[in-house]
Amino acid sequence: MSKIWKDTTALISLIIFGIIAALALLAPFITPYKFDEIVDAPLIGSSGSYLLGTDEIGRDIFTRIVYAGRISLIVGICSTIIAMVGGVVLGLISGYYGGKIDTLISRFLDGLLAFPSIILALAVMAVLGPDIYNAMLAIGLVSIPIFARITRSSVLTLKGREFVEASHSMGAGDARIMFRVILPNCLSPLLVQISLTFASAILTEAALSFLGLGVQPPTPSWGSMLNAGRSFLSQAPLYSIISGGAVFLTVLCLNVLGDSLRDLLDPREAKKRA
Amino acid sequence: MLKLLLKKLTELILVLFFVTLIVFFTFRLLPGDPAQMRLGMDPAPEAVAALTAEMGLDKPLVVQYGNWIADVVRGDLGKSMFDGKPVTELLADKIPKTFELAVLGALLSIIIAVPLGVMATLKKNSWIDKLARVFSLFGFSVPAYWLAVLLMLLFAYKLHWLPAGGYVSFAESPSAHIKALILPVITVGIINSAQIFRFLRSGMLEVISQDFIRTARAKGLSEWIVIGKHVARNALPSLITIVALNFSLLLSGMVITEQIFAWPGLGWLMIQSILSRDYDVVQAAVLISAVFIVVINLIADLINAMLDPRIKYN
Amino acid sequence: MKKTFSLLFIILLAVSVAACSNSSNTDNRNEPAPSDGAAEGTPKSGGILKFAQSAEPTTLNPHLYSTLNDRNAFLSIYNSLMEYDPKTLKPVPGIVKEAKISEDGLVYDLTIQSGVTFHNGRKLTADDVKYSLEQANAKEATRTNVLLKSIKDIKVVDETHLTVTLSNKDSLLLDSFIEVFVIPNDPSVDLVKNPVGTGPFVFEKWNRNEKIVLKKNANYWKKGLPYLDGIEILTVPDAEVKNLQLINGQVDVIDIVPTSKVDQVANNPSLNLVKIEDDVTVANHFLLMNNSKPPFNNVKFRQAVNYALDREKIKLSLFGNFVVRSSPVPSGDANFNPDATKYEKDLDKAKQLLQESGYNNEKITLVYHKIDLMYDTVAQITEQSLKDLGLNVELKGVEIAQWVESVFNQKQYDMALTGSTPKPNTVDMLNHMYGKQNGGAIQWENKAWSEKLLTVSRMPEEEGAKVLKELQAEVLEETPAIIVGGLVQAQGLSKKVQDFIPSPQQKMYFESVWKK
Repeated sequence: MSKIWKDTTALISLIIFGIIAALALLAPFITPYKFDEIVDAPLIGSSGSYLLGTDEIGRDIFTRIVYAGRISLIVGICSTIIAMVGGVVLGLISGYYGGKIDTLISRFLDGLLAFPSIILALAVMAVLGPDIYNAMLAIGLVSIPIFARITRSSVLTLKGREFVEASHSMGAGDARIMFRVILPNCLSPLLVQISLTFASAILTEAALSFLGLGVQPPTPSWGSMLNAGRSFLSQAPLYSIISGGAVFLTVLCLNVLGDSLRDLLDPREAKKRA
Repeated sequence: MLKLLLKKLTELILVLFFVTLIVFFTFRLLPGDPAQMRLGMDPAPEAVAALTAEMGLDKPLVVQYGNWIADVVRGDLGKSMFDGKPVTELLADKIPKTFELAVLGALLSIIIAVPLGVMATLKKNSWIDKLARVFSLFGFSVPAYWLAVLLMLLFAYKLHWLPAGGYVSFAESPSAHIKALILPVITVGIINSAQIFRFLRSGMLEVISQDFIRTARAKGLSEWIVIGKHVARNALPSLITIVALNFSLLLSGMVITEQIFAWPGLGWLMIQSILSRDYDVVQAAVLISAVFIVVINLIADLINAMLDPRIKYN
Repeated sequence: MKKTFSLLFIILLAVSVAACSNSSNTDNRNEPAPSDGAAEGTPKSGGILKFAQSAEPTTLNPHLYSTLNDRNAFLSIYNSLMEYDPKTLKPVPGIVKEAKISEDGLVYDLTIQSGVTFHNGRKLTADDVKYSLEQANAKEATRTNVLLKSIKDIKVVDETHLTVTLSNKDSLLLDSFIEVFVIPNDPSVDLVKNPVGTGPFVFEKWNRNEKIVLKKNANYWKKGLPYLDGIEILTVPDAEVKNLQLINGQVDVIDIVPTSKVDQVANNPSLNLVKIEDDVTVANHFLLMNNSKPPFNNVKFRQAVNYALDREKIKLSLFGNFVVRSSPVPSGDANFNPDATKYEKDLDKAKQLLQESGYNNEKITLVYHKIDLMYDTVAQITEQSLKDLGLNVELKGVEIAQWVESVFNQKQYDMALTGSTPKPNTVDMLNHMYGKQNGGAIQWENKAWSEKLLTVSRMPEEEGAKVLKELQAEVLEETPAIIVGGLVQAQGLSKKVQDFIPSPQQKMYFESVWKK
């Protein structure tokens, strides 16, 4: 019974996320206006011509929400890739070589984890300057430690296994063993982490934009739209509700998907949870 | 135990070393020359050079780092560029305010999460379990700043029950102080409780699936006693770890919450001083919060070790 | 060590507050004439006034401040040498009781008020006034030293007299004295940590991000003042929250009513809205261009940009809180030149000029700061206008500190947007925008124009007016920088607050304010 419930939720999440992704991908064909086009007077309520009304300078909110989704997803994907590549490499090295290198890398990652992630991302943005690429970098950087930790612990359990020993004796080099032998075997926890990091990257991007340090106007972002909408809470509550709601919905879907992915890939864990 | 403590302490020192490195070099890279910014518009080059020397900014970075560490160890965290107050004084004013919010938020989240977690585990897959899981997914996914805005919209704009933000000290007006606390505490508490619930539930399910619980059940003990005595005792260490680990997430969430509700704590101070390039303040505030998190994690580890001798560290 | 963080005065404006028109004007639309309050009864003592403003002050040192929030915070602690008559906008005695000017206009004999004491009990003497003038004229005092350039020498005669000698005649000197705040010549006083002045309120404490607490100065030299027992200056960065606090009665006065809330506040029976009249607004939304490099060194390019701006659209998006104009001189000013070039939107003409300028799709970055949502709005519509014109433009929003660093200090920018408020005299309106007062950030090299402007203060009024009109015409034709339009901000007050006198320079004076 519960399994069906769970699967249905996962399926619904997948469908919703698919719709969000499709909207983002097809934005130019779906949206009635350009995202930076001033089409009418500011803060008109929702109507036939403007599905969600117009924003503070008279642009179509629906168009901007859809385009902002594009930005969020791109930033989410790229920063997750940065975090994954950085984290996997550090984790592999740390776990494989062990000893002093491991200690140094692990403590460094502990050090990184000790910072509130938003503060670290904010500082990196302040150093690099606000734009979309720097946002990807900043968010990617702060998510590296968690990937590194997961990879490292997988490597530690795999290192002593026979097939690793076997490739050693066959004369395979360290890099080959790390990337060709060990890495493919720790993919499943990484996959789960990818979906969770994707979700948190979207949250962090929105937070940075909310504070004005993310994507620059007129390019829309859910975070900056929520922030702008906050100034019109009494006249146009829908503006901020929708902008924040878009972040929430996307992140929610990704988290549900992450959970089901975990159950799928890790039956032991799934049994415990079910 | 002593050996463990020693090992943990050496680890701690290494972590702190990296923390200081990260803090120092990240903020040293911030654009904008601090000497020039202090002098304002169009300063004479000689004046900039003199102030640069006075501030020690012309020395090699390693030396600057050394000097900074030496100052920090001596308890000198520098001065704010704005009001000229020693940073220590500023932090002494802000930390209690953040702490109040954090502790109340953590308490609220425990009050929400623990009963939910216990009931969800007891009545696995019942409607209450499902509801709790939906709630936890919600809390896990909702952006703090959006939740804050929604709460504000409802309680401040529509119902006019609570202030939309601002800080009033307890001494000035206890009732206004409490009113101002409610929305930020709820924001922080809801988000944090979702995380605690999630970990707690999986931790307790793990305990329940273990042999001794099955034995206890087989002995015919009532479910409540099993939960109350065995499960709780064995799940307590994980609860402590979770709450401790969550403290860092909690602080993260509070950074923006404080700013939205104009709560004059450490989080707002950090954002403000990063944006205004108040170097000494940023470095000190970020350092303090990182050290705090590292230390609280250490304490959680040690308590765990005491409560559960089976835990081994390698 | 000096704790200054002197940004610039332009910013000042940026964080600015509304001011009211000359209160002698007749009934204003949705604003009560400031004298309305007085009609409601005789002043009564007591009460704490809560004033909320948008950003935390950066310093309380009156000679090294940068933003309007700073000034609002320290204004009640100090007195200035001269004060404005709110009706005529002419300088009237402050700490300087009397100023006798020599026939050649080069020597000022100043008599200062006697019986004035600083908050620390020290008696005010001519020596303190000399010290204050020197501090205001120091290199770091970028807000004031440009105004005091003509001072050659200051001599203390006795306890209450001093003479100021000028190197050239300066008919605006007494105006400038309004900006000079009096501080004690006392090395034991640290103005940054614990400011000491002679003003109506005494500094008590400053809890960062929370509030600044001022208490009534019981020994104030203006007898009977102030009425209030104290002032609390609160920082509320969120404009919407601040407005709600005013409506809910948590605070008594707010510095900016969000443009979208102006009508709401004006129609609220328990609130007063104070707003400057459009035809006398001196504050501007200001578009700077870096004249030191192409394409901005080409007058046709600059004119093209000016013709392309959609000022009506900005006005619409700011809910009418914007004056459509392209001159820094408001039409209500006596020296306004109605015949100077007006830039009304004409995209065809703009495109024609752009083509003639030889613009070759060079990439242009438009940098602005985000002190208020209003600046985001202006920046985005400006960017749209420039795109419509055919410019390859990119927006960059930064924090104010960074804006100042790149535009004013390093002068490394293409185009930049900010708000800017000159003093209410025509010379400053022109000098502030195009002269050296902006740190020369626009790098417009026109010595003849600048020098002529500075001689106006030495001319008889009539001749001065004629020259000012010529200078307006010339600079608007050249358009080295662009006036996007008049900047309008409204202040919100609880009806309980009485006798608040708005200042043309957006200064928040609470000296004679009382609460019902």
